Order: sequence, then C-alpha cells, then structure tokens
Amino acid sequence: MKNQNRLVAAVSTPAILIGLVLVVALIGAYGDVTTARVATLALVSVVFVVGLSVFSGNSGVMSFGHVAFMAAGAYTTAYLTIPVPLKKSLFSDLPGWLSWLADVHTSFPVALLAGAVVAGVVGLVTAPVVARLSGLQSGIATLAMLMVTYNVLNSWTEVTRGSSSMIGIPRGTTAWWAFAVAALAVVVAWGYRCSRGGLQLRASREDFWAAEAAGIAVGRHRAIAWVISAMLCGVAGALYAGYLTSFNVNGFFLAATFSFVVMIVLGGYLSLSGAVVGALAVSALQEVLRRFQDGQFTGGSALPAGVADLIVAGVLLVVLVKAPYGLMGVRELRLPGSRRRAAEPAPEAEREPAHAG
Amino acid sequence: MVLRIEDVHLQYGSSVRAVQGCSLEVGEGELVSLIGQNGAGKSTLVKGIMGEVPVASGSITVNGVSVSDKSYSTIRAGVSHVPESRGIFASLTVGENLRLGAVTRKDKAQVAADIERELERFPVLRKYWSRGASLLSGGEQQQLAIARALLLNPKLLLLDEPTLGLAPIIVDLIFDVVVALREEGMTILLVEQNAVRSLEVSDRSYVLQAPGRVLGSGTAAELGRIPAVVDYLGFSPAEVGAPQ
Amino acid sequence: MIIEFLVNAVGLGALYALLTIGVALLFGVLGLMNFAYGELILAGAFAMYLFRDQPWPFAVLMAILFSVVVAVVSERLAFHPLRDADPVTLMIASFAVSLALQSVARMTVLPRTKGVPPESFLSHRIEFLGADVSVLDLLTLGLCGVMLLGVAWLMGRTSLGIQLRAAAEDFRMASSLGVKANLVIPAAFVIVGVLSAVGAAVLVARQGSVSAEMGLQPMLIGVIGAVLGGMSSLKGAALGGFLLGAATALLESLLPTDLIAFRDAFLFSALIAVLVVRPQGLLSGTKVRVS
Repeated sequence: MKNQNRLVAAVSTPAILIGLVLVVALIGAYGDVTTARVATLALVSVVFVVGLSVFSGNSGVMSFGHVAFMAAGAYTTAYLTIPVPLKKSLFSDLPGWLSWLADVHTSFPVALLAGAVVAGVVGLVTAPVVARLSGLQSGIATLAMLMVTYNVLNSWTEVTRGSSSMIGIPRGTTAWWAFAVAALAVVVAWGYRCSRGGLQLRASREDFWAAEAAGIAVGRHRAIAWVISAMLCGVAGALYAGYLTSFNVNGFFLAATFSFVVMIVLGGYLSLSGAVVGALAVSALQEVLRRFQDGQFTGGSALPAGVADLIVAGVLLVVLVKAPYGLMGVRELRLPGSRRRAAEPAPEAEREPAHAG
Repeated sequence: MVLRIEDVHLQYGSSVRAVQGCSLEVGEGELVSLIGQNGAGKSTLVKGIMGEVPVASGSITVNGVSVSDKSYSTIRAGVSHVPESRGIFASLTVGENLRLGAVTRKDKAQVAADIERELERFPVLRKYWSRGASLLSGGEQQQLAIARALLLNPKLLLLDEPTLGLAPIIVDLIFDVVVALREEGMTILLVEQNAVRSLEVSDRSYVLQAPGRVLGSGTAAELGRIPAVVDYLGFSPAEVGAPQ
Repeated sequence: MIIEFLVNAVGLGALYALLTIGVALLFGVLGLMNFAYGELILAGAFAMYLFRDQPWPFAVLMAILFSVVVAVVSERLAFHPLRDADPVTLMIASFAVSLALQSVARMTVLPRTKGVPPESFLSHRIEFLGADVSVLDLLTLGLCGVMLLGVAWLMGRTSLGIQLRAAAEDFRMASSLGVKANLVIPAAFVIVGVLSAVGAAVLVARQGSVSAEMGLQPMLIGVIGAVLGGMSSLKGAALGGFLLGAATALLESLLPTDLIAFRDAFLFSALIAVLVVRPQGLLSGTKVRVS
C-alpha cells in the first residue's frame, strides 16, 4: 500500500504535466490556424524551458546561453531537411571541407535526433566552463557563449547564410510531434531530477562547498546536467525550424533569451512544474499582448510596437521583487491527497536555497 | 546605564539558540569585560547589541533605546564597534580609513582635531598615513580600527577580540590603549578570550558560558569567590587583582 | 601616421575605459551587473538626436540630464526593491530594465535608426604635433580623458569617493561606520548616468546615428573590459577597458578584413577563458588590490 502510494507520488507530477501539455496539443490540433500556431510554438517553448530547467533548476545556476543550443538544433534541421536542389542554390559557396552538407538529406525525425546530438556536442565542448563557474560568473560566461555563437552564425555567411534568413525547410513539426517531444522532455527531466546525480546536484544548490566536502563531484554533475539540457534545447530548436520553415539568426539572440528567462523565472526556476507552467503562461501572455498591441482590444487602433515588450519586462520585474522563486517556488504539481504522503521521502523535502533572497 | 541587557535570548534562523537568558550592564565610564571560551555566545551577544541578530525574548537597550526598535541604528545610539575582523578597507589608504570613521559627523573642524588626537595616540598611523591599509601588519590594522572607531566620539566602544592573533608585545600595547581610554572616561565593553589580561584591566567582568549564560560577574576579587567561575576559568580571578 | 594612430588608439582606449567604469562602479557598490547600462547611453544619445539643431555643448548637457534621470529612476523603480537580492537576480532585473527602456524608445521616437548629422567642426582635420589628425579623434581623447580625470579626482579626493570605494569593498562594514546606502547607491547611479551621457555624445558623433539597439555594443564593451580588468577595483577595470580599446584599434588596423567580422567571437572566447582561468581579472593581483 505504502509503496503504491510512493509510486503514485513519483509519477503524479510528470503525469499532470504531460496532461497539461496534452490539453495544449489538443487545442493546437483542433483550433484555427492562429490558435494552432500559438499552441505549437508554446509546446516548443515548453521543450526549451524544460531543457533549461534540467540545468538551472537542479544546479541553481542560471544560464543565459541556452539559445545557442536551440540555434544548433535549428541549423542542423535546416541542413538535413531542406531539399537538396534548393540547398545547392542556397549554399553555393560552401568551403570544400563542408561541401557534403549540400548533399545530405534525412527525414524530419532523424533531423530531430541529429539536432539533439549536435547541440549535445556543443554542450560537451562548453561543459568544462560551466562545471567550474557559479553565480554571476556563470551568468556572464553563458552569455558570452551566446555572443560567440551569434557572431559566428551571423558572420560565417558562406555556411550559415549570415543575416539572411534560412528558408525552404519542409514543415515537419505538427502539434502532435510537439506534444510527443514535450512529453518526452518532461519524462527525461523528471527522471534526471529523481536520479542519483540529480539529487546530488540539487544538494549542491543549497551549499556548494558542503556538497563538495561531502564528496559530491559538483562540477561533473553540472556538466552532465548541462549536456542533457543542451540536447533537449537542441530538439526544441529542431522543432522550431521544422514548424516555422524559415528562420533568421536574430531569432536566436537576446530577445529569445529574454523571453525564455521570463518563462523560467515566472514559473519558478527551481521546479519542473514551474518550467512547464511558466512556458505555457508566458506564451499565452505574449499572444494576448500581441493582439493588444495590434489593436484587437482597443477597437482596431494599433498601439506602437514595443508595448508588449514593455509589459513583459514590467511583469518580470514585479515577479522578481514579489516572488523571486516564481509561481511554483520549489513546489511541484501533484494529485490532491498524494502531497502529504509524498512529503515523507527525503527527495521531496526541499527548501529554497538559503543564500538567495 | 549605557548598555543594559536583561534576560535576553538570541537565535539564528529558526533553530539554534546561541544566547539563552543573558543579563549584563555597562555603566557610564566603566570598563567591563566579557570573557568566556570559544562558542560561549560572546560574538552572538555582540551581534545582538549591533541589532544584527533578532532578540527572541528579553531586551537589549543602548542609552535607553531598544535594539529591537525598527529605528534603531548602532550609529545613532552612539555605539562604535571594532569587529573581530577589524573591518579595515584594504583598497583605501590609512588616512582614508580614518576619515571614514568620522563620515557621519558634521563638525568638520573638530574632526580634524580629533584625527590629530588619534595620530598622537597611534604614531604608526601618522607614519603610514598615505599608505594602502592592506600593507599594515595585523597589530597596525588593529590600531587603525580602534582609532577609526574613536573618531565617531562613541558613547560606548565595543571591542571584539582586539588582541586575537597578535604578538605579545602588540597585545600589551592594545591593553595599554584600553586602560588609557578608560582613564579618559570612555565607556568600554571589551570582549576577550584573554581572561587574565581582561580581569587585570577591567572594573568588572562577566564570565559567559555556553549557551550565553552568565556564570558570574563582578570585580576580579568578587569573581574569585564564585567556585563555578574558578572552576570554569581554571584559575582564581582574585589572584590577578583589580586595576591599578 | 604614428601620431594619428596613437591619438586614435588612446582615444578609443579612453572611451572604452569610460564605458568600463560605468559597469564596474555599479557592480562594486551593489553587486549589479547592469545590462541596462546600454540604455542609459541610449537615453543620452536620444537627447543628442532631439537637440541636434542646438549648439553641441547644450546637446551634451541635455544628454547628461537625460541619462542621469533615467539612471536614477531605474534605480528607484527596479533596483531599490531588489537591494538585498543576489547578483544573478539583479542581472535578470537589469535585463528587464534594458528591454523596458528599449521598448519605450521604440514606441516613441526610434522605431528605426535616425541619422544625426555630424557637427561640422568635428569633421575638420587639424595639425597636431606635426600630424594630420581629425577633430573627432581629438575630441574623443580630450573629452574621455577629462572625464577619467574627473572620476579619478572624485573617487580619490572627495568624501563621497571614499565612501563609494569603501561601500564597494565591504558594504556591511561601511554602513556600520555610517556610510548611508541611500546616499552612495543613488550617487553611484548619478555618476554612471554622467559617464554614459558623455559616452553617448562621443558615440553619436562617431556613428552619426541613433537607434534603439545602439546601447548593446557599448554595454558589452563595458562588461568585457570590467571582467578583463578585474571587477574588484575601479582602477583595474578602467585599465582593462583602456587596453581593450587600444587593442581593438590595433586589431582593426592589423587583422585581415575577413577575420574582423569574427572579432566579437574572439573577444568573448577570451572573456570566457579569463573567467575560468583568472576570475579575479587579468590585471589585478591576487592579494593586493589596486583601487
């Protein structure tokens, strides 16, 4: 009986989150064109923010560089799925050692996987940096990674098309694909959270030195979380490219970073439920604000561009002041009744980090 | 009474109670020392006086103002605190550190005279006036910290472990300064691990035992008559004698 | 030729040092890595655009007014309520402030880049130490140099400066000596406002245009310079900024054109390397601080 309760407690959070994501997918699959677009992109955001929270939520270290992984996934999808003839004309000046890029072609599911792998490799290369840095230094270093990525993508014109848009990607992403990947991301993130490594990493969140002294290799666990999180964000990028069919390097820069930061901070960056709720809530908010800015609520008179951004920035500031741990804090969504019993096993009993606040 | 502590309980966070039921008084012009081993609760009590640790029950008042009051500020209450870490600004010069001690004062002309007074008291500070404070030795830094604290013209000087980690000859110098300050009429609470020297110079002493309980108080002679104190210290305070 | 290059390199170095101090000062005093710094520059640049038909010194004065007001208001509204927050929260908040200010600029006057015709006197070239030097380069050097001297005087010789440096080193100890947070923090924002306005005046004169995004580049320069020089001391940060500027001038005249495009990638990779290998900065010693 007790074991059964524990099992319910262990799967109830991911089950609720997947249910939540399913509702959004249903809206996306059966809604009108605009609704479908908003819902599908919201699911892509869920994948990304869940991926980001695998690193930030467990380590307590914020990253401003994850959009670089999203870019890795998106560019990979573009190289692999744009029809070969179109690709030959888009990339006529490929350097010799990369000329094979013009000839490869795969299906969308393979591109999704490849996106994860490429982002994972980028993660592996950068992992030694995040393994060694904490707090603000990590914040600056991850932002610097984004700057390097952006600069390379923007300037290496023969390979990345520079500031010109990447076009002609076949539409692979559907609401159901987005749902499947989001559900998988939730399962992976929850699994990592409950794993031994995840638990140890979360122990380091409260007191880095105490965890090190207790023999936890904090750096190594951070690196592992970083790579898993990079792969999820890479898939998010692949979904993004496969849905929009064209993208621009400017989509993977500060505006996107800020938008995802709002999601994870608003939801509560220490909680997986916070990541999902934050991604969905902010996606909805942004859509409402977009319509507001276009004049749908003010009798057709459009407001100047920037109003939506201003409001989002204001919302973030209010959240930071009033509820620095977001809507969810360290709590997770659970089935009613399972909460009290679930509070009993050690992994569930967590406190907010003592140093912050 | 300049400082009055009545049956005070202090606690960190929600669990640990570092001081339980301490009572203590320091009168105008008195040199009172607070002695006890590491972990007896001395530094928590100091933090309580500074208003840095919340008072769970009982009261701490400085010149009649309770530290629990929202408006309490150690500066306005006239408390000058020389922390155990000395709090010297390494990136500032000796002179700048000193001037910082008088930052709240409006009587600029008098400040200059007071700085001169402290330079007379601590000639080494005059010598190194424009040097970076990080280049001073531990003993010199301690002198700088005391001089800086005195520039506030405090009603109560709170010296937290002023001789910790210093060479014996410097320890003598610091105790000489403390005695001289008392002669000038300064009210001083001296928190020390060096029980013998503290008992020698103080008017009265409080012996503190974990968790922050007063084991006994009074002049050295009076303390010598309390068996628990003699037992705790390992020597009779009566033997070290009163000042002068 | 040498003189001309030196004036250019030293001028750029002085400008970058100025930008770096703006980042390092707020970081020192309240642990704020201020990503909204670029928008303080934007506020000043905005004034330069608005008063482009007025005499240049008047426009600069108005730029100072604009930047200082925006700096003080952003402190009041956003950073004051977060005074006890950890540095990463502050950094996220400054992101929000940055976006908010950019949005306001976009909503009002700057939906797209606006040109600011260069002052005619700036495009002249004059004879300087026997070399042919543009007035613009001389002005960059002169204005930024004077500002740097001003900051050095303020920080080194005044009571406010001593309090600011003490607060930057150990805020708790400083306040237990009576240094008031409500004095030093707004004062730091005012100083940063003045610095960014002067930076804006120079940048607008060099670029000849104003746009909502123009703050990004100078802000990043400030951050890189401050990290390279070591965030713990203003002198180190200023030196870091100066060397960054001088090195940039050198790189731009030496690097082949197809590599100049990747300059930022090199700079930021170097930044990451410094953070990992020498978090205290390249120029600060491990023990003795140089402030």
